[in-house]
Amino acid sequence: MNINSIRQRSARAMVAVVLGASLLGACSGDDSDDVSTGADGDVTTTSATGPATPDGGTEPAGSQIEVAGAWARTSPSMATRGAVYLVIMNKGEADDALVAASVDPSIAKTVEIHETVPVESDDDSGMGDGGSMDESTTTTSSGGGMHGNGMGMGMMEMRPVDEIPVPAGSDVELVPGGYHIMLLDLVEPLEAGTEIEVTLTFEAAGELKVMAEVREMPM
Amino acid sequence: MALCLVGCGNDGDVSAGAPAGFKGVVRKPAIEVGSVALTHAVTGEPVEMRAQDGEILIAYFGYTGCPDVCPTTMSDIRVALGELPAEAAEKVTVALITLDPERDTGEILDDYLGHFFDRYIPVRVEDPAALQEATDAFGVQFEVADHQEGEPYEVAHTAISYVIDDSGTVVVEWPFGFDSPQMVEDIETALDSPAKSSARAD
Repeated sequence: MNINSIRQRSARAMVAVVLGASLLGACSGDDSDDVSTGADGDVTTTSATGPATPDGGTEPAGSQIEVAGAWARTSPSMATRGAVYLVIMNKGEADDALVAASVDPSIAKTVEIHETVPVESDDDSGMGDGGSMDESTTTTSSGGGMHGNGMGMGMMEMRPVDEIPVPAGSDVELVPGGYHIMLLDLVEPLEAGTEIEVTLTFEAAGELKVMAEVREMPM
Repeated sequence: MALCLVGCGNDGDVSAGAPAGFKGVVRKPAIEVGSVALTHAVTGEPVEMRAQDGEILIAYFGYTGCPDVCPTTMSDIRVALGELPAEAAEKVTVALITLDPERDTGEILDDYLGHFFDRYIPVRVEDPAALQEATDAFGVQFEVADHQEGEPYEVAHTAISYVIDDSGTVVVEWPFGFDSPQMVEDIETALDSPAKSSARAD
C-alpha cells in the first residue's frame, strides 16, 4: 500500500478540509496532526476496487476507491442530526460515484448524502442578498479561508443528492459547507473521542466501510 | 481622529468614517438593530440586539436541525473565542435566533448553544410576523421547506454572523465560511474601537 502517496493526498485534502477552520485551534484529544496517520488506528484508510479486467490482470481497470480522513462533528446533546465528512480518492481509471451511505441503526435512523449550496431567493429585498446592495457600499474580506463554495452572503441550503460523482483519478472532499453525509434522528449524541462505522456504497466499487472519528472540528 | 491606522485599507473601499481594518463585510450605512423586538427562548423576557457596554454581541440566525452550516459557523466562532485572550473573550456573547421555532424549543436552543459557548443567548420568536420583522431588520432571508407535520424538513437561510456593538449597530458581518483567524481580528478591532455613540468629538 502506497502510504506516502496517501499521506500526500490526504495532507493536501486536509489543508482543504481545514480551510476555513482555524489552524490554531486546539485539537482536543488528538495528538496527531496528520489526519491520514493509520499507525494507531486513528483514521482508517480503506479501499474498494471496482470490477477487475476480464483477463484477471493484476491492476484493476475499474475504479479504485480509497477513503481517508473520515470524521464526524460532535453534536449537542439534544441535536437530532449529525454530519460526517471525509475524502474520497479514485485512483483507478474508471469514473465512480458515491451513491449511498449507512450506519448502524443504533447510531442514527436514516442517512442521506447532502450538499450545502447557496440559493437564489425569489424575494428581491436588497439587504441579505449579496447581489443588490445599491444603497450601501461594502468592503469585503480578502478572500482566503472560506469553506465550501465561498458564496457566504446569501441564503444557504442543504439538500439531498442522489450521488457524489468521483471521476477517475480525482479526489472529492466532503467538507463543512460542501458535501456531507447527514445522519438523521441520532439515537445518541455524537461524543468526541468515539468512532462510528459508516458504510459507503459506490456505484462501481461497491461497499466500503470506514471508521469516522468524532471530533469537534476538522483537525 | 485616528481611525485609519497603518495597515488598514487593505480591503479596498473603506468609506470615510467607517471603522478601519475589519476583515468582514462592512455596510454603509450600518444596520441598526438595537430596537429589534426579540424574546429569550427560555425565559420569554425581551432581548435587545445590543451588546453590554464595551462588549460585542454576535447574532446568528439558524436552527438546531441544521447538520452542516450552523454547527460549522458555531464551531468557527468557538475556535475564534478560544484564540482570544480571556478578557476579550469574556466580552463576547453569541445569540442564536432560531428560524425554526416549530422544532427548536427553548430547552433545545439552550442545550445547543451551551455545547459551543459559555456566554450565549438563545432567542426564539414564535409569532411568524414578529420573526419576519426581525429578519427583515437584519436583512436575513429564510425559507422553511414545505412539510407535513412530523416530517423532516430543511430551512434555507442567510448564514451571516452579525457583530453588534453596545449601541445596537452591526459593525461588521461575517459571511458563511469566514475563517476563525479573521474573526479573531475583527473581534479585537470591534472591542478596541469605541461604539459610534461615544464620539470623542464633543
